[in-house]
Amino acid sequence: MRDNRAAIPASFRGKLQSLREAMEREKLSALLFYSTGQLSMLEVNPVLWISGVLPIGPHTAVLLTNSGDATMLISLPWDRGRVRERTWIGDVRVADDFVATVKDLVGRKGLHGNLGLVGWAFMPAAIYKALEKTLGGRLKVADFILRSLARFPGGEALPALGRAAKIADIGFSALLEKARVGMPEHELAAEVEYAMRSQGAEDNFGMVTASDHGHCTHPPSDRKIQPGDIIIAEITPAFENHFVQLCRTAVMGLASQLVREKFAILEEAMEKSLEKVRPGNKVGPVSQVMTEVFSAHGYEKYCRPPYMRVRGHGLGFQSMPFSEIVDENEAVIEEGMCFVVHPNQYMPETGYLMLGDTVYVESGGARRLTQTPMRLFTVEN
Amino acid sequence: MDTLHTVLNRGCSTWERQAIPEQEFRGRLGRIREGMKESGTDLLLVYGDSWRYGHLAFASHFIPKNRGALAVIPLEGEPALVVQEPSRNNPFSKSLTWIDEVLSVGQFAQGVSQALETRALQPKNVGLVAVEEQLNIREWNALTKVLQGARLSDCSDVLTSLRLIKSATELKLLRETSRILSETLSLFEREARPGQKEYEIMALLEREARRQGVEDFRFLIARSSQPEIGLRPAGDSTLKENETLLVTVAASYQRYWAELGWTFCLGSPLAEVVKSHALAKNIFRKLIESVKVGASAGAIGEWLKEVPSAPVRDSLLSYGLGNGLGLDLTEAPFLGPEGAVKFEAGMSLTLRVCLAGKECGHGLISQPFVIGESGLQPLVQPVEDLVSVGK
Repeated sequence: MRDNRAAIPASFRGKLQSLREAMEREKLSALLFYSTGQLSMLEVNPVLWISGVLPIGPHTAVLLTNSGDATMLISLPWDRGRVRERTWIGDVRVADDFVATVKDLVGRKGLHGNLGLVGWAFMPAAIYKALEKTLGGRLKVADFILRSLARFPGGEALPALGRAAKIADIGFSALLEKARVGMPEHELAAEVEYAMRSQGAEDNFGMVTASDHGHCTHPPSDRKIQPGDIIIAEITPAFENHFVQLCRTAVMGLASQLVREKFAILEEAMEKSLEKVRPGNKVGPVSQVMTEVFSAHGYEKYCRPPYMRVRGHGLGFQSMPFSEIVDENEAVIEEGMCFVVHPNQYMPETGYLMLGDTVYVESGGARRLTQTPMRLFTVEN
Repeated sequence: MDTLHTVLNRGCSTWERQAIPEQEFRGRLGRIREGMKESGTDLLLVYGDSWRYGHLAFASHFIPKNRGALAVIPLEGEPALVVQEPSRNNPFSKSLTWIDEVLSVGQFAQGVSQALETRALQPKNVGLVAVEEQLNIREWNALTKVLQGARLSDCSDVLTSLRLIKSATELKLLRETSRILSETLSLFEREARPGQKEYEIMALLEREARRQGVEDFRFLIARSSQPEIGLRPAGDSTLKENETLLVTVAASYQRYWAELGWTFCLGSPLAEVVKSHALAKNIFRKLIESVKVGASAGAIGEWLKEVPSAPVRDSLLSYGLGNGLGLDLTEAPFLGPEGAVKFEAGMSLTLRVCLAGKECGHGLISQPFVIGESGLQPLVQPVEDLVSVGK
């Protein structure tokens, strides 16, 4: 095994120390960080978080013992060079049979105690059942360890978050510049995507929809943009595996008085909810104040499913401060957290309107990461 | 070939009814039910997620955008589709499938329970397709409670075998995806230049493909200037004069995937590059000759033993010599020692020769084909030669 522990970057040294303490506390001999290879913007990717490498292919894992010894398992032999270049882990192996390889490793490393599984929530049933059978009763769900340690992106991530935010701004500018009557939705989405990818966006949870009365945002169809359409955009580029989300609305042509009036309610909800984003405050009131604003304008019914539910959330792959921003969330907002706040709202007169921004929590409150003004836009061409 | 997964299938999302009408799916449903009867199954559950959705799309045409979906197929009556999504997405999801009953739920167990209740079904033998392999353990535990008392058995083979031979409709869609990729990759020849960042040229190709209506797009690159690293996603380093670039692109159009890989040289290729690419081309020709009706996919790698260079053999096996092509980026039949399928007319394949490394040189040829009675027919104009850029 190649031992390069001396070369471990500081950010990972901190993680390893915390993990060793957690293993001691939970009486675990090792932790197995697992990823199916399927990626979700709403989750911290366990393998990326511990190894620094975004997995390609199925069944990737890192086995970390309580003595700090780490082995990474990948499934694609041709990907070994990329993985070795990016990770601090010296021992990278290709596993043809994931479960058998884990079993073999556990034996070779002389691990006798319980093993904590990080990534249980996404582990396919067949793999979990096979691991459980192989390891007897020694496999313990340990997702909570990652949840508690990965709540903050960390100060070192600020340049990447700033870059992702800049790319999101570029994406929305492209939407305003390229949208044309008669253009299919998917072509407009392709232009937005191009603007961001050509600036280095690694991925994008991006949805661009044009409609005269939308019920939600979704990936684009081939519908051609019409005069007066309301374009709603959820743009979420990733840079260095940090996602930043921007939600905005633009009208094709002059916005009607009605649309402007209704959008002003979103602006009010946004302003009031951002005031609630302060260290020490609970998450629930961020959502509750939006409901209060919309209810005051007669839209209480539309603040519940099937119309609306979530008013914001964390953004993966590197950190997740808490679960969704909903009325019931009792989690406490802390300095250094990063999440999106979006009072997106369906209203029967206009359809679905979007407004939202990613914020970084500082001692004085929320700092918006993007520069795009929080207003209704029009496309006039 | 596997690639980096994306967080959202965010390209053009439609069901083109003229290109693949409901009749095609009704025919499939009939064949699926024949398989159910043979295996003594009275209910079939077919799962797919945003990464691997081939079986699900075969039954439903639905493409999960960022989570998963489950087709509930009783032996008689109409099927249902359970989609994990907020209920407000329901009208959009209904636009992607021929199945009329689409249930938008938080948990699959809830949707399956609802579908069974509506149909007054109490299945005794439930067949599972891609459920245990792909559905996460939390959802699985809840689902098995709903199905308590029923015998559960894996029926993935039923759909795998039905998907091997492509219909005329499917081949038309595969040709369309291949055409889009060919045009996309041609852009690399026109637009790539030294000094350009990898992600800049990738973005140009991606835009071209997305403009033409693909649902998803993938791009991998390997460079002769970085021989230790194989194919990987585009990064921020700049392209260099006279280097060799292996580029593979993949996309899905109306759920049908294709993969295309060419070798480019920025400027005049060095003699060693010409040599390694010529070797790749020779091996590719041999590969084409070996794929015939009646031949075994497992025997395809036999002649690899005759390749004298171990690094060349290792590279070929590492990237794989090819696989089936269709509703998944990689699907049966898989070429190589573990392949168990015998080739038949109507199967569609990606054939691939990839040499990437310090000791084996660089050369990539990856092309889509359909197997005909008289041999392989390309799904798109083949490009096997080294493509010189800027000369």
